[in-house]
Amino acid sequence: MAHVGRPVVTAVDVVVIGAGILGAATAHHLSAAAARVVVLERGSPNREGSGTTAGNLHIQAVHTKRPGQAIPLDNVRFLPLQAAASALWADVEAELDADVELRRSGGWMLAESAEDEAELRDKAPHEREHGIVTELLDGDAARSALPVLGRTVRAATWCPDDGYANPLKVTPAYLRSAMRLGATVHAHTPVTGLRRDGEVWRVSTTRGDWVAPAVIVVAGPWIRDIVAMAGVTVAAAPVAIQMHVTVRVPHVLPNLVQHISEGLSVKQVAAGQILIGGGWPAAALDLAGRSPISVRSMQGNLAQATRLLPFLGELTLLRVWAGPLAATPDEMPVVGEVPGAPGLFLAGGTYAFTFAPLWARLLTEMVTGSGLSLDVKDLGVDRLVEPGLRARDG
Amino acid sequence: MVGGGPAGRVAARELARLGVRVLLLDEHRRLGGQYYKRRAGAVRAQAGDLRPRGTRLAAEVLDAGVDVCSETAVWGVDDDGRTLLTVHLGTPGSVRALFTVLATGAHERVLPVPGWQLPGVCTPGAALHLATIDRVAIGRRVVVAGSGPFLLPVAVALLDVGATVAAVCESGTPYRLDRDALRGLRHPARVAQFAGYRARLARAGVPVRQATRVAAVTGGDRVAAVHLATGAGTVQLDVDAVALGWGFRPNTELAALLGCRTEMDETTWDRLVVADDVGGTTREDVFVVGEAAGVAGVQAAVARAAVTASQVARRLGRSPSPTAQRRARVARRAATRAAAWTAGRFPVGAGSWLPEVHDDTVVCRCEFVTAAELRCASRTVLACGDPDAAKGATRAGMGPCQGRQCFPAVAVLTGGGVSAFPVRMPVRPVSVAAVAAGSPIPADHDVPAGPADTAPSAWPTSGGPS
Amino acid sequence: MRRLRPDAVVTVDGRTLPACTGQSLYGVLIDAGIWWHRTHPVSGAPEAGMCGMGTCLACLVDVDGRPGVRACAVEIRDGLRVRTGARR
Repeated sequence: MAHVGRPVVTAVDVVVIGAGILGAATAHHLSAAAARVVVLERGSPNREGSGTTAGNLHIQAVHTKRPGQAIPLDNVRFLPLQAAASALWADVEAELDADVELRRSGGWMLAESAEDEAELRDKAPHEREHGIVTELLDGDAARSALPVLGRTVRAATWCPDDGYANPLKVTPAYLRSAMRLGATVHAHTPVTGLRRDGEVWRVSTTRGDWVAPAVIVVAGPWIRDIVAMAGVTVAAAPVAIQMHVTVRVPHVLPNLVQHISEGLSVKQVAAGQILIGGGWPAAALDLAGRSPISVRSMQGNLAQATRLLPFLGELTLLRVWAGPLAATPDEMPVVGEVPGAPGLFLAGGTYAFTFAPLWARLLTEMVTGSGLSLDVKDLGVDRLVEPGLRARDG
Repeated sequence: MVGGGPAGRVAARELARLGVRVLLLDEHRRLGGQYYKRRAGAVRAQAGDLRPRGTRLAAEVLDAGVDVCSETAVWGVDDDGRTLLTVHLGTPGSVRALFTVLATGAHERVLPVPGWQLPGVCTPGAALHLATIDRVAIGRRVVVAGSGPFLLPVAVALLDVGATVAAVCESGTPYRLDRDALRGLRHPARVAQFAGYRARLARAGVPVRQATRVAAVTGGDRVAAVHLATGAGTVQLDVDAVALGWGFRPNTELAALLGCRTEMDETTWDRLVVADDVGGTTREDVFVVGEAAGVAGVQAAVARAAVTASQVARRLGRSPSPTAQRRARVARRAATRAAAWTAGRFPVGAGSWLPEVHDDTVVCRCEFVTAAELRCASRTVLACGDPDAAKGATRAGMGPCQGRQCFPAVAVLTGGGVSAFPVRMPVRPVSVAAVAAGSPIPADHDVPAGPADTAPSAWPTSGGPS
Repeated sequence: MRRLRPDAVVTVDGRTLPACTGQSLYGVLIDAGIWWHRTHPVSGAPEAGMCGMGTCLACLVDVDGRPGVRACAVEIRDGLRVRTGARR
């Protein structure tokens, strides 16, 4: 975009690109660490993946493939991350002094076949190893604990730490806290340039430039586009997934319900609506507008949900929507510094809502150089950078 | 044909008479739509047929050979962007046709005023249907308020069922004799209709107050009074019911789901289908008729539907006679002009007072979100000038009506032109089970051939009534 | 005004109301002065159907044991049993 005269340049300590949950949480932690932070957001905050997600807190081992996913994720590698995130989530409301409808009312991982049940048995020792409490129940025991479960449930693991929070409250609460601590947030400020400028990074936008020694790219599906402005190509595989919600009903489902071999998550939120998801693909990813939903996915997801929780069938469907998921080609999350681009950090990938407090803390530790509280070297950016496409210094 | 109101039935009848196979889907038990809504058996037996013309039109549709699927709601569009997803008494189905004509009608524009959420407040349309179809008065002493030509017949219908109409309050000054009013002489039928209603109201001693709006409705568990803002100050009327409405908004969600281009009218905050003057949308195979194509009243709806029908028929190689086409065009021109004159007499827009509506006013009735909450959200970085973001920040528009009622007010209060609430399925209520049981997309060759000819045509491909 | 001769009886919250077959349940409720159709799930205030045509979804009542039915879309049959969401 052409400026009349020279653009306004503001110097800060850290520029955070993206005002989803990761950007908001990172801005909060950095501001708490006394950094001067600006958050730049292309639209309104919390409107993309972070605002369209289900808001589940996945603490017990997850299933490895959402519908349509080619490569399974490594759910054992997830466990220490989930354990760390679980502990951080426990403090979020107190830390932010806000009600984010955090519910740690436990969750079920369902099995319908012998193979499913074997998988539940397999995951238990790994969970124990990382201090995640789970309990295996047979179908009848699970049904007596949660009477709305259907007949096809053969076994289930119960995890008391599973839960959810309202994504429409979490990001705003993080942002408000960050702003109270001194951060500046600019909505409708798309980034148009990102380049090394001597000792600092220069981030250009439609509303002026910012310079900072550190830039954190937490722009979800736009990570690739932003980092490409710095001359680095990272492999990203964003997709759009969809969610379904029913009208309000009296509270009958106190827990999160998932399936060990299929993409499924069902829960009843504080307002009484029932949210049905599980990472089923939308019809397309539309980064310019709202992604169109897939009727095939809607039918598949709702048929499966109704099989496992038959009471859902009678409910009136209120709405279906879709939002982006910033997946990586290996389906594992990414967090770290971009190779060859000192001071340029990024984070994203699947299960970003659950991991948000953790990624925010790790990014803060990386930027402030205070030493990492968790080893995430294997989740670094290296593996996503195509050979020969690394940034040249200067 | 989606919708069996006046426009949908006229278009269906005309097409069927030209030999086109037409399937008409309507969500109600009896064909009628809102304008020609018909009394049910026992009520009709006692109180007579309310709209014999509507009944005749229903018979003509059947006589012309239109297949009618009643109680069949279209709630979405399949992944092919073309197949309509239906639900008939809980049973899912799907329909694919060479041409889809949307006659999805309109719903009433209701704007927030303090107290409008009180029981005893309803729309003029609800009051009219209760009075004419069910023979029930919404209250003993009522006020009819808002804006639009529709307020007069509603007040008359209320008199007919024994209600006392304390006042008709029109926010504009459409009945003032000015130079533009004289142009109404070119539309004598319309003027005579207004004069008839006004004479009837005058005989019953009902004041028609112009430049008067409802500033507030008050009461406990039910309406007790309306407070009117007039040029001369505030007037309180003790009433037990209020009919409140500001005209109609086209139902265009299905058109948007089908991928027809729509535009947000930033005066009314209505989503309008981009269509040519014969109802053709930006999709070659989708047409729009009736109020869904632009609110203009029943005469215009019917006249335009006939023109659209001949356009669709021509595309199918079934041209109506040149004389019939000419007649239809002449009728459409006349009706459109009359509608434009009428519309010009009334104020347009989302309500000039809305930006100043009191902070305590409930804007989103479904989620109980107040004007203060919306203003507050729009002052923050979260939802500045962005109604869809304000929805996320406040829950306005997230309830059962999905923002169909509150969007204009949310748009005004958030100063928003950035983003409308996106159109999402289901656009009519459908159960989770009905969606889950949905049938696969039929391949083109799976479309059953019709009984008479083998040309592909409108036909239910699964489910629905036979 | 000519009132309809009732030919049916419906029970609303235990109260018997005369009605006419084919009338809308919404109409019968309002004729009896029953404007508390449901209790608002957020505000807890009494709420009534407003639009009579299926847009507002505020007239949801329980009909013959089926919850969440739009009163404006129900035609009267003799013996209909209705429960509103009114809290007494």
